[in-house]
Amino acid sequence: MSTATPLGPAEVLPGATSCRDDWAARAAAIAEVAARHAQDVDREGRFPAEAVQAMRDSGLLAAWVPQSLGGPGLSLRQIAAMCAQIGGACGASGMIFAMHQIKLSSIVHHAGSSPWYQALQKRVVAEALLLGSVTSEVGVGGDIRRSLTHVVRDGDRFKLDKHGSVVSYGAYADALLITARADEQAPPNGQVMVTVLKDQYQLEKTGSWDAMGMRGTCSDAFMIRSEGACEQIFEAPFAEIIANTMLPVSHILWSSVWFGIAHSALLRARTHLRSVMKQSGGQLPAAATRLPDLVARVQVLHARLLSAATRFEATMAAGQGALPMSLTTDLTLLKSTMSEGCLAVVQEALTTVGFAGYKTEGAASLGRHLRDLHSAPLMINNARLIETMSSFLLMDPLQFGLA
Amino acid sequence: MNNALREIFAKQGRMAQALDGLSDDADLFAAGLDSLAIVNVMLAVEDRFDVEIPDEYLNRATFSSIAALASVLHKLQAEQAST
Repeated sequence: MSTATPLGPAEVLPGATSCRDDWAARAAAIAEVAARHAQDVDREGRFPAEAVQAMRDSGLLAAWVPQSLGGPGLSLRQIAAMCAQIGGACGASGMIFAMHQIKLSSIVHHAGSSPWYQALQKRVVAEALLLGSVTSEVGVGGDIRRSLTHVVRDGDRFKLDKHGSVVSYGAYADALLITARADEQAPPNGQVMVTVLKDQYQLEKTGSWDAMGMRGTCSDAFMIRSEGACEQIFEAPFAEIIANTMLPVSHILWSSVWFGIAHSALLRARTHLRSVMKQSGGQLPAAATRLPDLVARVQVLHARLLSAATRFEATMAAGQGALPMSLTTDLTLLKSTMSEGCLAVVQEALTTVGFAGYKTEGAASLGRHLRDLHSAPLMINNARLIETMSSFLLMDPLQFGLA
Repeated sequence: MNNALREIFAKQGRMAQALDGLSDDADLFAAGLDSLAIVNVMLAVEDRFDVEIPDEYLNRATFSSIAALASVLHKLQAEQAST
């Protein structure tokens, strides 16, 4: 069932630390590999093994790991830029890269002082471990703030079984970060997060992904049976991790992947219009008049994403602990705006390109972009976010400074 | 004040766990305080104590325990009294 290769010896990858300086070139190289296999990955609904191997070779899987632990210690915006670039080449590869980084950010920001987690970060640098996530659960649907299952402690050991409903690249990850109630008495949202390594869990596949888009994420359902040492349980409650790091980073990095896909669609539309213009002897194609509106939409999305990422990065740098609610609200609104806005851009690009975009093959094909982006409003369903946002916006200062 | 806050949390907080057994310092989010209910708690507190909670205090930490919220309210009342 699991086709991931076992971990090799802990040898230091040549690129692991030096990728701080040339991360952009390395991300471009990953994107090039991802683009080459994107159509096959999508058609077959298979794991983008080539792109993920390129991620491992680049050293960039360790992007968040601070320099004090031998990592490149790249910034959120640099990681966001990589997500957009890889996502523009292959949505599934971009999303896998983003989800891995989201998990890593939780470790770096909430378990940094734990010896076990320091050692894990060093292993992410040395062995380019790919981190997966089990936050969904059969029985609670997509509400990741509630768990049914709980950690069973026995002395300094624990056992944890969880039936994950959507476990992205579960069969290919080297470690899984699993949420569960802290103990049998804990309420549904009294959750902790636990990291288990590949040799500490068994996966039983209970459902297949085979989805409309993002097919290469291989987000199958799995029954997971794991055990480990209690030091692998995050000391910080999951509520704190999700509020201060996981939710903001998820919304920014997901949005970056979606933006990359929308940007790629824009470039495909422009390339197509150029070739039509060439064929018609220099006559401006009628559809080209859609281009200003299309570019303007992309500009608005870009500005929105950049301002949110900049604001969150500044807040993280200030390091005041709890995130202001206005920022949480802003990032939730970012998610809903970007997911719908990027999808609308691809739809508009398709209208601009016409049947050349509707076809599965060819340089102007937009089907994969469109199908991939239909996942965006569903990842933490926007319908679910409306209530949260409506409530929190009543508490929001609604300030829009310019100077 | 703490008893009044306890009543407000019990009424508005959509708590998964009864407040009775919890100390003023207990982490209310760990006890199942629904983060969506914070706005209800805020409005009830502002109404009951005739204060406006400024933006810099509108975060999870402020609402994380009865003691935390009481300390913010004491601070705000002192500021209002001095102006």
